[in-house]
Amino acid sequence: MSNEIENIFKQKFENFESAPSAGLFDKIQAARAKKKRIVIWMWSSAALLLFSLGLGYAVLSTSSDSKLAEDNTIEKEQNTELITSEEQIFPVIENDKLPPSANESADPKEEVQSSKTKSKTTGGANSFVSQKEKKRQSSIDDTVLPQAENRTVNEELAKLYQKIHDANKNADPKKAKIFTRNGESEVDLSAINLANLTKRNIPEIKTPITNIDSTNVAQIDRPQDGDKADINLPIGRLVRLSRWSIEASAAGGFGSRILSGPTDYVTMRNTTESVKFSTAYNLNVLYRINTKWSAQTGVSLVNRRENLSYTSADQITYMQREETRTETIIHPVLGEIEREYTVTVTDSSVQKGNQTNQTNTYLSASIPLVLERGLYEGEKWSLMTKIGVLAG
Amino acid sequence: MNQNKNSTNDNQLNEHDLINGCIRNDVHCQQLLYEKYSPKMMGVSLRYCNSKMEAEDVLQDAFIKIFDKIKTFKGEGSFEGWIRKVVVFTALKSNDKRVNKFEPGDIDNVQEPSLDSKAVSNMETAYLMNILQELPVGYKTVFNLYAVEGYSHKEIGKMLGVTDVTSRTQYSRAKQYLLKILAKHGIKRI
Repeated sequence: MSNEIENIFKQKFENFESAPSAGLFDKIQAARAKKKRIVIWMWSSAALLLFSLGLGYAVLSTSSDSKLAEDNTIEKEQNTELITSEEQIFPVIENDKLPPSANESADPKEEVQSSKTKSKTTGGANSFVSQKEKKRQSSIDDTVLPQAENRTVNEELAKLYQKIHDANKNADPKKAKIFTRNGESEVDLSAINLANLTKRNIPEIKTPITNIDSTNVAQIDRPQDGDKADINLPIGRLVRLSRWSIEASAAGGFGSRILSGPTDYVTMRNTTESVKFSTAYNLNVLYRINTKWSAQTGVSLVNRRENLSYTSADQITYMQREETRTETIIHPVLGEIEREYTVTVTDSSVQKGNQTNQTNTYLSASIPLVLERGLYEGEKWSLMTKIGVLAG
Repeated sequence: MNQNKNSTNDNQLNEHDLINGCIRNDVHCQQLLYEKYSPKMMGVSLRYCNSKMEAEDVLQDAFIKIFDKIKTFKGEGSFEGWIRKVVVFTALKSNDKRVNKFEPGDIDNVQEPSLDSKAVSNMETAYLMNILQELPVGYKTVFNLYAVEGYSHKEIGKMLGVTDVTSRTQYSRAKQYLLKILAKHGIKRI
């Protein structure tokens, strides 16, 4: 008899079924996705910059070089051709026959051009210089080589330039001589706006000078490639740039990210999130290695935003209550009788999930270590490529 | 021949296809598997738990394990048996966390039970479930494992980390306790 109870329960429960709540499967899937180890790689900043606005400024060297930079302003440009410091050889424009209209122009740019050109001549051309220039130059003895502080003057080179100048005294203004560390050549000066020259648009020199009396210069040492000047500084620029500069920039755009991990998790993220306008800010110290390469490092802040839109899962609430029921049983003694009993009934109610729209913001700071290479340098546009890492 | 295969024959996917789909982590196959077995496994889970919510928690954990470990099913024995085993073990683990296994019941003086089996047979299963759920967790566990699942006391002892003698004793007490509850519900001993 004692086994009867087992048999009854076994028979009753062996195939007993009860439907679980709707939505349990979704819970299982969500829980599985959470449980798994999630590896997420985000490259937010890398893809952020679709459009960028850059602001930058160059910082003058505060070392003794600043003195040198000052020396190279137009006021003292007269001596520029003689300056061949250990650090730098400046290209020099030589021409003593500029068009009169340029000499008399009130345009500051023209003034720069004329004064600069004048500065390469030795006297007799002061009429080409503005009043201001005249005043300043009156205190400078044209016949004496400059005794620049803390610098040595290559007298031999000075002599060379002088000879070249003499040889070209009557040259065509359209065939001005330009000297660079690569040698001397002629350019059409009238086609060049000297005031706007920068280090990026120095005229390309193609035609070698031919009318120099080579016998006069043959014995003179020329600047060699091994000299320390490896950057052709601009002719028209009034200050000398340091190799060091600070660059600040800001960018805005739409940043995306790539997720990897469980498929369901990635799908869930991709279906609930969308990109929003994001911003990035950089403050870098830049060291120009040579004309094409520079190295940068600093701080990079990326403020990536994304829109989160989802509908939360339905909330199911269970409530238990006591319910009195009646049943008919066969009593061994009393026979068929009605009996009241109480059962616990579980009611459920479903509250629909809410639609949520919100913006998530991810702020990240990193230190970029970047090498930059110029690919194209035009008058207004330039193209460069960067390679490096962001640590942070 | 194949044109309606995907659209109409979801229910006709055989068990082997379902298992393979789940191994591939195919959500559709997982859902079909869940729909096929969840009502029955909910019935199993309910017997080990005190409420539907608890039972659903157990069922959730069990299906997570099933989907994660389905590739370890070697095809030995029935698949339903394997699933049931996972559900039972998950329920045991869950009970283990919640309460002490064996509560001393005030049943020492209960006599050797005998029962109006007809009255019990006439009871609705849902009602019997409520009665079963009134048992202390330890008793309920041993009773379920032995009487319904059909495990031996030796196996139960192994599962619960006790001796088979303890299992036997607990089962005996569980049965007496059950009769006491049945009596409370109007089922008298003969």
